[in-house]
Amino acid sequence: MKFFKRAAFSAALFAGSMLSIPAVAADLSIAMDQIFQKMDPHNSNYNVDYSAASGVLERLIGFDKNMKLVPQLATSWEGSDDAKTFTFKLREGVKFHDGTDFNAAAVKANFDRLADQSRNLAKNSLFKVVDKVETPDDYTVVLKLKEPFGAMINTVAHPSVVIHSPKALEEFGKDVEKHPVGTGPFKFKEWIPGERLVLEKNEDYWDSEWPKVDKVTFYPVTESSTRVSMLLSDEVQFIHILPAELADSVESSGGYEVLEVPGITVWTASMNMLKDHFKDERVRRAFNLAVDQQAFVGVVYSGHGVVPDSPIAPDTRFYESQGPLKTDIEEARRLMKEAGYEDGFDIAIWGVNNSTGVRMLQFLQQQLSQINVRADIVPMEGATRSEKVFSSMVPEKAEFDMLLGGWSPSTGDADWHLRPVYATEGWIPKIYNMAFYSNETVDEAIQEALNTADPEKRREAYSVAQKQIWKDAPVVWLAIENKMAARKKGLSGVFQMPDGTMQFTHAAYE
Amino acid sequence: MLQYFLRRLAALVPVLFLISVFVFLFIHALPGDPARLLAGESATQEEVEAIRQALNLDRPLFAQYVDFLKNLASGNLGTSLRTGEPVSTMIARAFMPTFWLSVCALAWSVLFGLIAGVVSAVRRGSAGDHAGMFLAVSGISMPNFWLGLLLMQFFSVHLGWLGTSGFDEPSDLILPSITLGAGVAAIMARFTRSAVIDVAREDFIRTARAKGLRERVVIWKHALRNALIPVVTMAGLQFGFLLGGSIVVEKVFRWPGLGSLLLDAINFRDYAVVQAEIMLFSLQFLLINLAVDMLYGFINPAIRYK
Repeated sequence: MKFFKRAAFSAALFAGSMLSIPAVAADLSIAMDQIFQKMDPHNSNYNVDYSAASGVLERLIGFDKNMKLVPQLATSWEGSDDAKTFTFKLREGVKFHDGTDFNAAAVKANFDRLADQSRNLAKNSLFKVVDKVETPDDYTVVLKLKEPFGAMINTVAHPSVVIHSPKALEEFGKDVEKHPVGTGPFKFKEWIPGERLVLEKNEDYWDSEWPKVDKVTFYPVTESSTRVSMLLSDEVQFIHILPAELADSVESSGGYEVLEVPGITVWTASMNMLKDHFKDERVRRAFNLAVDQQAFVGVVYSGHGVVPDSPIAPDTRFYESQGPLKTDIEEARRLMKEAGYEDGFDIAIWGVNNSTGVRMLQFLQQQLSQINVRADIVPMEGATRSEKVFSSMVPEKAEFDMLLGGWSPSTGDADWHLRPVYATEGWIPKIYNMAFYSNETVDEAIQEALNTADPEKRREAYSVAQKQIWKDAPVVWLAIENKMAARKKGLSGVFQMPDGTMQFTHAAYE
Repeated sequence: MLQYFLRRLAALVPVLFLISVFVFLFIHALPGDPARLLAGESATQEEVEAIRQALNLDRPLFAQYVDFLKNLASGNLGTSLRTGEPVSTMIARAFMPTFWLSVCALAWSVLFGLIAGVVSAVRRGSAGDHAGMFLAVSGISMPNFWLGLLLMQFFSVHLGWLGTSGFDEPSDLILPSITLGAGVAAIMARFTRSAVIDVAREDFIRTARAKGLRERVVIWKHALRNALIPVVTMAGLQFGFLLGGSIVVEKVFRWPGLGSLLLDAINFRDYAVVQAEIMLFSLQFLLINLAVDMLYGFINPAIRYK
């Protein structure tokens, strides 16, 4: 047995002889920050799953490192003017790992699976608007929608909208989540839950230039110091995610580099607008003026982040800058006085009890004290908070005044940020509108942008929505945290994305 | 003696039943909604409801408890909400890594603790005694995640002698078992020291010395043997704790054991897994206690079982 064969080797190590295993240059090992749940992105909400599965299962459309759309299994796509018909031209000559041909029928099998709401898959809701999937010829797929949905192209690019081999879907059924078979540059080899996930090179990949590594091994490592140790002892060549406070120790070690990109997650402290004091726009503006966002980024993210200048992040599609956030305590105090709250009031701020969450809460508490607001901060264990916020929430009875949260639009499109967080239909517990913000102009603009597939018309509508939200300030905008990772120097093609996923298909060593 | 053993074994059944009730009520009383946790923070309410139905979490609590008991009686531990795997498979996979880690940690810490304890007791008040007890207090006080990270930093990153984490080969046991055993070794050392000091005041020790026995025989044969009863009890207790899997040490060393499994299960409110693990820990504890009781007879032949 391997275990015993290695015992002798270990004994030698124990005796202190300094052996070290030379790394095989063509293998890649990666430490991820979370455990893998399911290798079926159709049924997962987790970035770690999307990231690892992306080597095996490809999408029609992918994102480049700035969240711009790039062709993957589709070579071109277009939407009709009424945003109800979307046509995709498929790549020819592609085969799944099990030998099945990739064609329109294969895509239809997957899209039908996503559209079938009775399956109760985690991502079925993405395809709720889909009426039927048509295949006019072997390499064309047409999505017909029940109602206009201008954000459909970005929805198809969502990291969960992958194409499984139709044969595997049939053979394994729901168990496909343990046996992913796709068209990607890597084949699924082995998965020991909680320990490792191994992919190996697909020799027949359609893009003959790739892949350039023979094997990729993922380790789920939830303890961040352990991830850094694994990198620095060359057990892995890439770690995702690197906590900001450990960036210095990686950089000073030499031979390793820190990768940093602005994310698309915008952190906010929502103000419960069903409470009297937050109905007053002056109070909400005063809160935004009282908080020094630059200092927030320094305290909470050790400076590894940026201050938002719009409700959505710069790398989100249709972003438009609304000008910098100002900090002005005098003006904030004046506004509070004008609103009749010169002596402030008492509020409860809810957040999570991890170290970042507690720092956020304490910082806000201190900043708001400058305008005489006495904040009672309530850090909660993750599962408890999620129960209180999402499962037992009745908006009118909500006990919080402010609620910390961060939203990342996983489709990379403005719709999936503005609608869940600022539209009336997004009020928690339904989606993520934690301020109970409701504005007709915003709701209409968001809907209008969905009624067309024309990017210019959509841009105009989202411009209106962003302006109105920025003016109304239903939340205190806090920060866009940078997504950080670290890798061994000489490794290229492996990097983290603004949406929190990771790409590794073009991994290569110098 | 066999009869006594069997009677004790039978008495475990009602205890385990009571524990099952407690465990079930406790885990379901915790706030937290597994469907929401599985769906993730950014899921819509629709996605959450879809998952709730898919997992049968919409059934009444009492019905869920009856299912749990029925399954338990037939040896079926249920299915994990999070992974869809049978819980028995997950526990079987995680058990051996935790078992090996516990055995290694206990072995070195008992050995070290006994020797350090006896030496300290004999040289009571000497510099060696003070140094030993200083180490023991440090061992108890040092948070083990910190000790683990220090060891990893030094032996894996700096010297490159050992792997940082995971369990692929026997040498991977070294750092986590040192980390895990440090606290136990310290407790054992202090416990042994005071037990030996107590025994050393007894008349029969004076008699042994008066008979002209060599000091070594007096201490190691007569004093230690009689001091062993409380020490063995403590070692058994510690072993029970270790077998439960240390969440902190297993997390730091990426150990694929019961502690890591429990942590993931609690974070996701994976009821079936948490219930099964706590039932397993309870059973282990009960069995270890029984084993310790049986061991007394071998250590001290004066103890009889009825």
